[in-house]
Amino acid sequence: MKDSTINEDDPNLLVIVIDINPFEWEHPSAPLSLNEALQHILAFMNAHLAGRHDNRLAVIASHVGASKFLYPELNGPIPGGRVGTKKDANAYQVFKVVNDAVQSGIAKLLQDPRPALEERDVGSSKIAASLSLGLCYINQALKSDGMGHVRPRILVLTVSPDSSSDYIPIMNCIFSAQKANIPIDVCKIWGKDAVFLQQAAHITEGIYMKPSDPRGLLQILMFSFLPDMYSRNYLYLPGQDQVDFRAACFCHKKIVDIGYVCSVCLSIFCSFSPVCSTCRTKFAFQPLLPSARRLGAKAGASNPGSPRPSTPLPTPS
Amino acid sequence: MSKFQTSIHEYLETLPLQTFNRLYQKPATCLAIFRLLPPLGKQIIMSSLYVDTPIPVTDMKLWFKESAGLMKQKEAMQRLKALHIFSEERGNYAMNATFLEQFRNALTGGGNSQSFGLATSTPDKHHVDIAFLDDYATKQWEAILHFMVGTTEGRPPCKGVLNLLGRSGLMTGGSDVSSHADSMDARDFASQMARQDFGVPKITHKGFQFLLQDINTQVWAFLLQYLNMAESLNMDLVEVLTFFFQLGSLELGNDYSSETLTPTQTHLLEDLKAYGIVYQRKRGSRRFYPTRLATTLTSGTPVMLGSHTNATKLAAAAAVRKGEEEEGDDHGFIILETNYRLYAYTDSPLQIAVLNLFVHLRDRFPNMVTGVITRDSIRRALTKGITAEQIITYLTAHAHAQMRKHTPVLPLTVVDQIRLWEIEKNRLRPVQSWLYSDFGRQQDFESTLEYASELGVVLWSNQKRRLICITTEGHQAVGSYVRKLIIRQKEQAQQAQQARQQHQQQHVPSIAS
Amino acid sequence: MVKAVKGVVVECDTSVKQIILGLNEKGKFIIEDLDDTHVFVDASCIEQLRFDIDEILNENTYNVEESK
Repeated sequence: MKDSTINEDDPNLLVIVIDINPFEWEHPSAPLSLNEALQHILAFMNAHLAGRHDNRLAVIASHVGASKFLYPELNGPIPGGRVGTKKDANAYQVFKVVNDAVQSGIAKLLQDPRPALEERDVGSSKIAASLSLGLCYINQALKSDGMGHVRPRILVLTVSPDSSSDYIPIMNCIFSAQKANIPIDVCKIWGKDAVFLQQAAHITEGIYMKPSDPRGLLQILMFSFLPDMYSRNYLYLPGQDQVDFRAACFCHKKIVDIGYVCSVCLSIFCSFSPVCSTCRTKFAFQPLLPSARRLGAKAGASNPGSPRPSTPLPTPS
Repeated sequence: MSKFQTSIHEYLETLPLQTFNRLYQKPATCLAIFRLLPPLGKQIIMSSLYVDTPIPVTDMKLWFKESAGLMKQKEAMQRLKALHIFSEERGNYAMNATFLEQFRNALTGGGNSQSFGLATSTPDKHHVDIAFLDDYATKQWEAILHFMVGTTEGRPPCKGVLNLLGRSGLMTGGSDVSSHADSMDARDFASQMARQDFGVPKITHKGFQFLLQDINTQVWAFLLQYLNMAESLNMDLVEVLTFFFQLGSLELGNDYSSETLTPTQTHLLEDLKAYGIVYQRKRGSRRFYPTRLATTLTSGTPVMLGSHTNATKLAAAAAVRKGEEEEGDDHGFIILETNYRLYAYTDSPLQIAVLNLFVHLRDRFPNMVTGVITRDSIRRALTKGITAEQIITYLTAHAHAQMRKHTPVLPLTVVDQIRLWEIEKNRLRPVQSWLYSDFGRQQDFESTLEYASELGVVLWSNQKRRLICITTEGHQAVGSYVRKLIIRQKEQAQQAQQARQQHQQQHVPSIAS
Repeated sequence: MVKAVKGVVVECDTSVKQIILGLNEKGKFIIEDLDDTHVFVDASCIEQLRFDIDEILNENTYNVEESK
């Protein structure tokens, strides 16, 4: 285990996942256009980079059906050191490189032919894929950092509603992040609370926030999401009083209050099935029958009369 | 927070508000100063940056957790106020308007200050690469260090450098130091030179300590000295500082135009060239390249000169080159054993000269030297004003990768012994003082002792022998106290005598009657 | 009558104190022997005293270099 004491002089690695789902951003009821929001986000990125010269940043765009690194550009030229970008004496070069990369990356993604509407029903945007990309990037960064002082964290800026099909991959990401001590901060810019991401922030001890006025996004980002792990020890930051712990079932991806849990692999199902679809365990009993043996009761289906409305979540050991 | 940050801070905090207001007109300066702040100071700025109303003091307190958090807030706020970024008015914190505006510009790339360095519009025909710049920076900087330790390696540095070395007290004397006779310390310096044999600059205690520091601290020490000198040269302080901070924001390997620089800054460029902080192909060229020394000015990371050496090592196996590994974190070269033997994998004359300050060097091989740390070698260093702590820090900083696997990095026996040798040097602790003795009466002694201890000037005292040692500062006060005591005693004695006489006189007639 | 004498209080460890006493045999410079770790001496002889003690301590230290 790495030493967990956080030093004042540790550099920070911030991975920002930006949800650019056009269906939400261009929705008539959207309080903020993507371009406006992007200005805020870019200023926030600069603020992060301004904090320390060795602060690092990665930006991932989470589009409908795709997830892409905007910065650093993979396979692209190494950030900094290249002469390609036109220099501007009014802007700090480091900021400019990042901002240009993010802006052009997003523009390129949005130019691509729009995904068909059917896809929209399947998944809103690929948050889970972006989280995985982010975690991989962090892992790589930590490995290559010999001193082991880099403090990583992830910030998800999202507007899309939960897509229940994403439940399993998101949960997997959350637990990996928890295990690696990577907090996931979530800013749900508007709309309903994002259930899974709320859990993500809760489990990884990150910050979850849904701003009351999305037009003040920058101030919220600066105030609540900018503090690094060291400063967070000394600051009061927004917490969550109510976390929705509901899970989605593995069979139909429905969000359920009460469900069946496989005794072997802890998969969640909304209806009983004799064979666990995840681990192929056969259940040799009938649920909820008065004649069920004690073993059966222990093994699985939660009692409809249970006082707990939520399904206990599997926790990794 | 590393040393150089503290020293630049201390310097900045001495500046008046007007200077700050002018400094903050450049986004690059705002950014550089911002980076020097403690983490919570940065956070306070960021949290308030887009709040348009002044923040009530009580509100800001609510941001922080009790005790530990509030303490940090107080600390950070003190710094912010000293740098005139925040001011407190009628229970509100208000951010310096200039800083606010320009720092926002720094973040959003707005404004038209051109403070981040104007890149040249045309490609350079004589473009130089990073390896060349590193090499150049190293050569220039090492030439200065070489000169300080007195090795013959490299050509002697130019006049400006010599002048600075003298003024900063790192060296005394000098062959052709042009001092500026208009200022007071120039005169001091001249007289200092006169005392030394003219033409033989000598390294001072401060100089030795300087050698053991890392490059970044060294460069800043130089630049701060330059700032002090700039005032006496009638150079505009703000322009000089702005240029330093601008350098810190430039990118290594790119060339920048020198056309937008003010005359002061052009002059400055000339001087910085001599230190190896910037490179210019020829005097008056329209473009300049910052070297690694410049681009890491405000970053605080150890300068990794020579980290590129892997590629060029074969070609440039030359002696000069290796020395820069000095600063590289992964380039430690010293192995120290528990038997006080030291092996240094270096062939840089500079490194060897530095080691020679406190190691008894014995053998020299093509790529390494061996030596022993002895009582004599350490004492020699101590008499030069180097402290045990500095030696230990230096050894730790340059320990070989193999050594770093152990905790602690250096063998404890050696570290302890070096400290003991330092303590041993101070086995005598003499203090100038006055010894009071021959108190006539115990109560006199006691009241004097009481009086003196209240003043806190007692060095030593002995009740039985009625001896007190008083510091020289306390002598006057205690002396007059004792004098008064004696006079009072005399008066009392006289009064007593008179009383006795009167008594006797009264008695005599009664007897007679 | 109270007397005040100018001089230097030297604080040292007991072994160095003994060396000082020894040196005092040759040239008297101790004004007052205070206690085991303190001695009051003439201000002018401090540098000489320091030097002499250094010499004596040097003679009495084992040197790694000589062993080879």
